[in-house]
Amino acid sequence: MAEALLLQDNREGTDAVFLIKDNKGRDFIRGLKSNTEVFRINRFGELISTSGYNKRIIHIPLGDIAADSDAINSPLFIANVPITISEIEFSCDATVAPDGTNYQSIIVNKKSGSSGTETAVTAAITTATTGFTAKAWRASGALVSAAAVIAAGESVYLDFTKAASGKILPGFVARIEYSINATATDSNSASDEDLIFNFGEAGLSDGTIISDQTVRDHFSFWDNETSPEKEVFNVSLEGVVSQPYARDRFFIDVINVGDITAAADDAKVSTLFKANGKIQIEKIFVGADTASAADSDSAYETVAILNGTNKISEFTVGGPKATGLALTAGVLNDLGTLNEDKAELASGDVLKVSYTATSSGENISGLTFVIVYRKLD
Amino acid sequence: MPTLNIRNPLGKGEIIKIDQSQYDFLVAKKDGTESFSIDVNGLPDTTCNQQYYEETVNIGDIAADSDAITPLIFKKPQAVTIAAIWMGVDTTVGADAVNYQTVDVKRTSDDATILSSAPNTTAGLTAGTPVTMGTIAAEGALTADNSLYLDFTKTASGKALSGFTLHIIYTLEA
Repeated sequence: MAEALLLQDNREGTDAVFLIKDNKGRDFIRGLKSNTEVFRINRFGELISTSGYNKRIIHIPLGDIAADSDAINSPLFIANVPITISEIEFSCDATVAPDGTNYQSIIVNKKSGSSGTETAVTAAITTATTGFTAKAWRASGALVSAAAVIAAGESVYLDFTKAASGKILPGFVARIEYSINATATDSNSASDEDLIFNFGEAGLSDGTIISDQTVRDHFSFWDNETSPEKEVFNVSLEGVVSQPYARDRFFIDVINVGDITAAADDAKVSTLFKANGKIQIEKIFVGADTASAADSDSAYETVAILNGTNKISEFTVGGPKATGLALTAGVLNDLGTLNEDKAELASGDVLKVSYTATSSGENISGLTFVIVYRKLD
Repeated sequence: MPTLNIRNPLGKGEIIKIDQSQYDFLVAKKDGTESFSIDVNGLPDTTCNQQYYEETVNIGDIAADSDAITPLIFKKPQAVTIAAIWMGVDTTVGADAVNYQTVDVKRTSDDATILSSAPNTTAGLTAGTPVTMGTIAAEGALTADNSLYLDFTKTASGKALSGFTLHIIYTLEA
């Protein structure tokens, strides 16, 4: 028999066992370990945890960076919600010796849209006195605190500058560690007298709050301030967590598919994502490391994003003049409305990209996709 | 009707506060079997598919002889268990039992392989169709900040892989 401070075991009924509705902007649950907060479920249904749960990572291989890569800005990241970067690291697939004469300078910048102002996210590092060691990460330059907070829609990208003849960086990989910024991190000022339940140590052998059911949802938390009221957090019988308004319900994947050569790469099929569980694709962003104008009505590249044979989205590069996507180096563009009923992936489905040249087509350098999705089951 | 129904309580702070040092905060079970929990360190855990995290890592073009390179592909600041890895290419590779590439995934802490058996390209690979890299060995349990890297071994003249892509599936561990 489980010991808990609050145990609900096989209660009859159809509503969630634990139901909280609040109209004063109170957070729902706050958990402390020996007086230090380790998690809370806030009034927006966001789960804020000091465990590794909130630490997200992405890895973006960029291939071989040429000795002279001054002209490219490699897209790294964009999000549909505000995030904070906590760490950036780089690696090469082979050792790069330091060289005080011919070296590469690497900096991470950001900007909002093609006409935005460029801001440094990190200080620069070089390979002048420190190179790269195979199988080892090297930290980026120091993060610029304020700039490491990335607003929704801001593009983060790499900028290379050569000294003398520069330095090849073979099999270059960027790694970004970040967390999604919660809408709010503290409840409206609290006093313990306001608490409905205040639990402490009690000689337990199981959890503090336990729900053991065969039919009902376990937890259901609602925002009653809005009209109509809305459920912001739910744990179903099967343990599926729903957070329909929480920023942390989104997950982000970044994939650099490399250079697309017009016409020659028409047979290529790049894979962006393989679903493990049911997934809803929410947004797709696309960018490149070199600018491309939509300046031709006769020669352009069509890029289609597919779930199996079902098209989720499509765009053209290089033209047509009226509808083609103009690319600015390093800037990621929102592809806008997706074909929603095709954007739900069953477990095992693969998100793919196909390429079709019209006439001589258009080359795309360092084509990068950012996939924003939710886990449904 | 809910069993515990709290509606529009007065006050400003959080509604439920739990301060303890040993036990899970919340536990949800389906007929006696845990389906969701938040542990003593604030780590949520579920038994449904939401427990899986996925990351796609496109390494790019791999030369037929890539024996000398060891690209890093993964590092997480928390203990994880690798559940599966899928590999694919953007251009079809034909079957070839003579000239092929073997791809292994290893961890940096001890250079141990995390795959029970490193796969190779003898059967070929179809563009846009990832294949499993096989069973993950016990070494797929990674401590925080332990990295993964790829190790290529050519047989005869090896095999070039265009747009070589991995899909890494993992779970978080306490």
